[in-house]
Amino acid sequence: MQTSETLEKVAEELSKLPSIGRKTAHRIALYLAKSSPQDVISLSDALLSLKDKIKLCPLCCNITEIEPCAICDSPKRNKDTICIVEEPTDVFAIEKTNEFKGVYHVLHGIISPLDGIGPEDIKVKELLSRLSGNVDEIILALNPSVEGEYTITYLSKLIKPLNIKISRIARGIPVGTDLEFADEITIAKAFEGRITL
Amino acid sequence: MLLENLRLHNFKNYKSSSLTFSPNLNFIFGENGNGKTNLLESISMLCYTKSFLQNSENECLKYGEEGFEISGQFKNAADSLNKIKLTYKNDTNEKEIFYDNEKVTAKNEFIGKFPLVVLSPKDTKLTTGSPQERRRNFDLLISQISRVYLRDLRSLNRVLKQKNSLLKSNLVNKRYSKTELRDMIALWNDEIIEYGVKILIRRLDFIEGFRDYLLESFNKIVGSSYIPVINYESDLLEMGLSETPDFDLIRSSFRELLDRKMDFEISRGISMVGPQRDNYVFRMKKDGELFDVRIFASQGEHKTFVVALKLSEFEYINDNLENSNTGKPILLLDDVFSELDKKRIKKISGILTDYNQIFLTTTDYDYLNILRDNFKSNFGAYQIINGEPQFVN
Repeated sequence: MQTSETLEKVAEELSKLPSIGRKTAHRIALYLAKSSPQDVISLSDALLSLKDKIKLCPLCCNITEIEPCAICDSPKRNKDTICIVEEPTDVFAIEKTNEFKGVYHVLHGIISPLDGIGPEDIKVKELLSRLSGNVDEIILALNPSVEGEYTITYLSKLIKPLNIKISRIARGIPVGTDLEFADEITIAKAFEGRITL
Repeated sequence: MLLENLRLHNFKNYKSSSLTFSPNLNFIFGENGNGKTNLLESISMLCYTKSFLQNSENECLKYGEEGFEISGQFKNAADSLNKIKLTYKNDTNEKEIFYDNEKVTAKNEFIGKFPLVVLSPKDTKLTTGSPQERRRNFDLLISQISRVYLRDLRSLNRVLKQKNSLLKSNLVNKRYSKTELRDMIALWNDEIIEYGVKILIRRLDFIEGFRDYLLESFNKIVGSSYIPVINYESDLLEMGLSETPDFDLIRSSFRELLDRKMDFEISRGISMVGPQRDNYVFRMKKDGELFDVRIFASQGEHKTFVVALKLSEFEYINDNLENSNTGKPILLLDDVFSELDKKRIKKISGILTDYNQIFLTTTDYDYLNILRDNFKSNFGAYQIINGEPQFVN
């Protein structure tokens, strides 16, 4: 098939993005080639400004355009409570609930030797430097994978000696689900995490 | 559970075939290399999501084709029908499973919904081969009745991969000092204990219940002259523990063993402790004498042991299913009569009517005459010629 080198190059770059396969990449590249110059320029400007303007908050390491970020800067947020999450997307998920009034710390990854990621490759140092201030409580909101469990134990071992209250979010039956329709694994986990009344 | 029909497209040597099955015996015959085992393999892929021969999907693709599709309709004990479709595409190396046309996202949720017991010539490895063969066999069996076990097993394997990766990479790059490494390994060990103890206790519990089933199926096939014995061997149990499961005791000796072996693990760069190294040992008592099947049994005794083992797996799964609507397992018998004498073949044929739906392959059409004595007209016979199944009257 006769094809353009420029088009191929754009498609190749696009296919590096998450959940974009080769076919989709080609379709987008072709679409862009047919679009008006203004549209393409405004897209590329927007992309470039990502790298210009977006940075990590010096406190919580979440992505932000202002320093510190809006959450860390807000007088309404309780700075004594820090919720630790894996990725910025987890902050969005928790913020949507409007329930959590504390601040966050984004690790940008999880400990996984298989992927060559050790504790020093995620934002642990940054977390520890925050803990010397007035922090009362740490909430670990990591995914319940094998690596998530490991990172939870690793962090709690580090934090324990500092005399800070430390907890992890619960796992169990989703709200709105009848017990009889929940799967065995979820029920088993819910039993492990039962609460004394 | 019954498999009512099956459609194959570009699976191994099958171009495009449709079959309808008998709810009792399905007698599949043909010469070597025509695709009898392939047919059983496709059924195992629908039930287990994987081939019982451990072939990769890529190896199951018809030569020169881009993808294959297997679909079948199952009927459970409550007469409800479920359609399962498995597709594989070569270019993306992607396997997808559809349950009543809905894509299955968590494949391990699927195991045990369509229980299956397979007996094939490669099962001689169960009595002659390495501990890994027996662990894999029983892991699959327990997983079919407990998805919690399957989940714990997958987690343990993941933890071991992580720990081994840390041990191995540090041998090469020396990223962490010995003290740092010990601290990090200790945390992985915590998780190994967490999942390992659950797995160990589940296995011990399984053996405890399974013994009677094995004894009973031995009685059925060979009479009471042989008594089968099955034991679980583990470094953890050798530390003075009895086989009576005690969570706390196992947990503490597990930790002790892991601590003791840690320096050895660090110097070798690999995990040395855990249920991934345990063994199931088969013995038989004959004329009052107990002997190790792996070492002392004759060819025929090996085969008999495996046949009895598989038939007891059928009964065990049947009695321990999580959902009673599931119904009895499907039985795949691949070339089961070879190496057995006439007397034993007659005996086994006689008891096969006690089971659920059976798929039996053989090169020898004459066996049908023996089976016909027991199954009367409750069977379907299929001749496979070069990937083309033909119903035979």
